[in-house]
Amino acid sequence: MVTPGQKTQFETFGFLTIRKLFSETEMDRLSSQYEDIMRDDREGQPFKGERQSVHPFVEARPSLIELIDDERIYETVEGLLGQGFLWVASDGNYYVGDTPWHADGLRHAIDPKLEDWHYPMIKVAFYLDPVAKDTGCLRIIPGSHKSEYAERLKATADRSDDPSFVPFGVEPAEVPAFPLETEPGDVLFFNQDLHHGSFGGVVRRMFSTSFVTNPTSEEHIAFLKRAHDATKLTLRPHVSLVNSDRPRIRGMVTRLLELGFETKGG
Amino acid sequence: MITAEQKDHWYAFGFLVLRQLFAPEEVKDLRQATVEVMNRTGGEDALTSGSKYGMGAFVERHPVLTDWLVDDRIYGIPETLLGPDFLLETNGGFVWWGDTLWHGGFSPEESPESYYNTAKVAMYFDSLTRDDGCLRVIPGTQRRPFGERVRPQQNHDDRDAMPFGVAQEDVPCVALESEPGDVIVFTERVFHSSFGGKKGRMQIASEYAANPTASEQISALWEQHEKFAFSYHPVRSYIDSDNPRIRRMVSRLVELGCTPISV
Repeated sequence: MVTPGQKTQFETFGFLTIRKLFSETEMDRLSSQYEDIMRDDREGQPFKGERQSVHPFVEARPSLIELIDDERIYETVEGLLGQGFLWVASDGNYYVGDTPWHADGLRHAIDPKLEDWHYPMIKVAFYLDPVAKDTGCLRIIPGSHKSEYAERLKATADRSDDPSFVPFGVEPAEVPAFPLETEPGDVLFFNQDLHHGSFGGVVRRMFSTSFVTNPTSEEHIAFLKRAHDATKLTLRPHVSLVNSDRPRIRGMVTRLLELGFETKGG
Repeated sequence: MITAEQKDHWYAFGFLVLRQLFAPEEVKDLRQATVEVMNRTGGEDALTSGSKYGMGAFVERHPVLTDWLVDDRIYGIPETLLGPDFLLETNGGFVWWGDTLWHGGFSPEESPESYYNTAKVAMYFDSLTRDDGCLRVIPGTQRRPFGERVRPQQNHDDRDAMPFGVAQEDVPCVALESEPGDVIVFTERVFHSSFGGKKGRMQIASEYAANPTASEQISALWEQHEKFAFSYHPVRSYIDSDNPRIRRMVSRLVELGCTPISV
């Protein structure tokens, strides 16, 4: 499913955009489910234009769990992370306004004694509305998921929303970056260590799922355990995934249970 | 002058855009001087006929352009980024159009010991946007290892090469859109390109190097000197200039035995 060029693009620049992966009809259905979940979280209250974030998200609907097992998603993630990749988390968001520059990837869980840490964690993002550079699309600094470049970019790693913050002498919206402009149906796959933000958006609807490479070393396992302990929702598989009748879904969480991570929900 | 924050930007990303450094009247004078030099050096049809033009040792041929070179706003750029003992490598005037494919980075023969910092200062005389010929850069690729990971994209001949699965013009990058009066500073090592340039797109540029002190650096400089007609060849009128900044920019080249040229 992932071509050699796409894999090289992902490894080099830290992201992949696959255009029109889902049809208009499919996106209408996903949008409807998104609105249902977000409305349930607001206990039926209308959306008032304030930022809203729901964790977990896809676990709330069997049809969204099926989405992860869809070959268009599963095989792309497998092509980028390798076989045996693990579930991390999911979320649904109403984004409002700017999102300051930051890098996810649970950087604080990385052992600082390790050089050139490379343990890919990927976010798969579905934006439900057209988004462009000045209307809140995700902007990324290509290549910033790698440690040497990330070191030079420390100023953009920590989500500063201080109005006087002028990283590299420019306004945050002028930091050199590549806009990942999308239409509904496009899907973004990006390494969570990439430095990213968004500017100019008013309200954007988006949901995402995160995955991580199957750990193959004691350092990887130690990282996962530190990441688990430092968060409340990450790496805690929902019972709907643990008990799924889909073997590929169960396969994403079995190793987490073996590592001693507790389940959620039920 | 270049601020400490701008220096950080340069270090991190490999370029700077200095907006409206020159006023419209100054741009007009610079443009006129550029056209005069072009007309004297075989470029008289370039702006009208759509032919391409490029000439080295360009600013030396007109006092307005030499004044531009020693103006604080231009001189201060390499002075801050490369050190007060920077060299003038070369300069040029160009009329170009069409696509310039991705290039930059490090050659396979280049070692960390032979590396020395360089900077190019460019002024365009037209409004340029992403799809009509502005400079595009992949920020951060002026340093290893990112610059080496992107090297497969360097392909001067094959317009259809897609090492990263996307067309040349879709490679993730930043478009340095500009207006006349803006100054763009970048290092040739940062991967750069342009697409969609319209006929008659005119530019002047000066290129600088940090003073090479290690033997490997001097050897690398000498290789460039031997390979190119203008790089590291000081113009005789600049060697004997009564402007101390001009003399200083080329004196190290004389010291190194670089062959002077006359224009």
